[in-house]
Amino acid sequence: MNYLAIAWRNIGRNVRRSVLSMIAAGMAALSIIMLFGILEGMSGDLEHNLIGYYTGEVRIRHRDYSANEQLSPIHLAVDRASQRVQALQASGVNAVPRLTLAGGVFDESNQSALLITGVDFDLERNYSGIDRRITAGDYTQVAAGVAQATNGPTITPALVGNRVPQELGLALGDTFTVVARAALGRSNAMTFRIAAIADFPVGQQNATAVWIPLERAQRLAMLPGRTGEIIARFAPGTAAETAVAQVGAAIDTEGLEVSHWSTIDTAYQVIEMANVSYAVMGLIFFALASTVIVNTTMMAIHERRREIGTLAALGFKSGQIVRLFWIEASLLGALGSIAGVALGLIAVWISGTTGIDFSGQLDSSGFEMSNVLYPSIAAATVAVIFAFSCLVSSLTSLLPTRRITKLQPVAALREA
Amino acid sequence: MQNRSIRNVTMLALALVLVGTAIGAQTLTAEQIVRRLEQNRTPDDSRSEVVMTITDRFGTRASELIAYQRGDDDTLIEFTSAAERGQKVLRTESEIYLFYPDAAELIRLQGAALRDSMVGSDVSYEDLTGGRSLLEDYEVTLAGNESIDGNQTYIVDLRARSRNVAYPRQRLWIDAELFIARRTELSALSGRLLKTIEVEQIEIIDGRPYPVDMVIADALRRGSSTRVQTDRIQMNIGVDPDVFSLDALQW
Repeated sequence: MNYLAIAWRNIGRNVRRSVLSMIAAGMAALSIIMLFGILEGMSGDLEHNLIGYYTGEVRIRHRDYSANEQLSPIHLAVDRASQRVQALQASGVNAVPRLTLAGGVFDESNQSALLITGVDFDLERNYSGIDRRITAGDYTQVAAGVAQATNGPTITPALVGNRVPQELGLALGDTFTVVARAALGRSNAMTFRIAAIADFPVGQQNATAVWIPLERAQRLAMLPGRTGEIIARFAPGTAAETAVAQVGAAIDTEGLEVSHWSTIDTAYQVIEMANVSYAVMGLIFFALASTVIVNTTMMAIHERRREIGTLAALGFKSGQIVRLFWIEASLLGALGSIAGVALGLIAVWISGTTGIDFSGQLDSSGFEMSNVLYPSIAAATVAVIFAFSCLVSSLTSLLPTRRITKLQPVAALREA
Repeated sequence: MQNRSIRNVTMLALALVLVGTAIGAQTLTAEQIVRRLEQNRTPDDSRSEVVMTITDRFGTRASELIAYQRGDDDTLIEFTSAAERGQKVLRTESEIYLFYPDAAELIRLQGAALRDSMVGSDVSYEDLTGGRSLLEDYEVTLAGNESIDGNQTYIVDLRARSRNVAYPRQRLWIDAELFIARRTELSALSGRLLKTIEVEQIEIIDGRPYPVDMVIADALRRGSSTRVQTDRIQMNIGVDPDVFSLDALQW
């Protein structure tokens, strides 16, 4: 007997009820696809930002820095910074030095907090690609470094986040003086000229980032020849152990802490944890949606008692009748899931192309997440969601169909 | 018998002298003690060479500086040690300005920034402020006497009259002979201890007692202390008033 053909025909017997069931399953699948599209977009975005602007794939810093991090121990720095970076580059590792200092502008009308980062602008072209995010000014000016002033202090060219000029009430070419926390609790100050403005991916960077040549940051921090950290990125798919080993083979890591980004406490871990909790929420979504399928199946069984009685009288065993109704319910779930997944993919594709602007919410959140989020979803995730939705709707439809086994054929025919 | 009488008389005389000294010490009021402390505190002007040795969980390091002072209000500190060479701090009557060699403009400190540590030491910029008389800013009470390293001191409690002071409560152990604070505890209004100052060595310079070695500890920085040693000090030498001008600060 062709159960599938019979189930398919039965679906068409009450189109409105069947569509309702499919919509329930479809809405659940659509929601889950969009939710995971956003989550995967966030994960990918965080990974991109963390590796490009914060931790790198591998972060190298002084071995005692992490234990004292709450004290901002800038003096616990990586020495022989240039030599180490050169050695890493020579071994094929894309590595850059970064020296970040907390600072602020203190003038009569303005007290703005800034993050001053010393970088190697030439190496950054291949590492963060910040040169491709310039919206005003000239990257070559900051990359060229400073010309020693003959009279008065040397003015350092700086690349700033696109909201820094607005925060300071300045424009391209203007100068500003920053007091920064230097090594061992000292303070130091330096005057910068806005030579380039960049659109950093993270809102908070746009409001606070001031990038200057590394040697000027070393002078500001009173740490000549040293850097706060070296961050490195590797070929796609490089395992954590391999990446760390590659660093160990290229440079002497005595006295240093070499950490893979996946082990560093960042917002990425929050998203990873969120993925698990959202998966549980997805399960609950589907369970709720399945109640509609359960209800539809129960209604079908109730309305078709005469049919069930007839089938039983014709010699159908209860197991065969259960299978028929179960296949029917499963088909409804599968069809709904297909439609939901398809609509979800379209929604993810559209929002992944146009982006979702979270700038109002993320500007001051401290999360390393871009203001504009581009949802995306992996094929494997789509397959799992589809299989999962089919499985849940199929399993939940077993419950009402089991009632059939309790029906007596004669009673069913008489009641109907 | 005669010997015993002599001994008794001697004991009685000694007792009277001791009681008399104690009574004499107690006869000074808290205001009088603080006034005598302040008479000692400030020469007309001075130039001193100072070493600050800072000890914290990261080790010990030294910062050297030359300090110029004129009256209660004007102070100029110029750092001479390698790390901070050229940095200057100017305190005038109501303002604190910082000069950094790599900065094109002076930094005027205000608000919370005044509480920042000076070159990572236990001394904050705020500690440089407050040139007014203690008696103007605080109500003073005598809390007792105590001997510190064999030196008799008056314990004087200070409670701020207004919120316009860095430390709302202070307790001073003022040497009963030299009228200089041998120990100071600086506290918040709640009574929470913020800073202690222990004077380790006092020298008489130009007829005036001067703390040439003292240890300052910020109670909020665990395990941190700063020893301030004055290597050389010249008082009442006629320091040029222009030294304390904003123009001079940038030169």
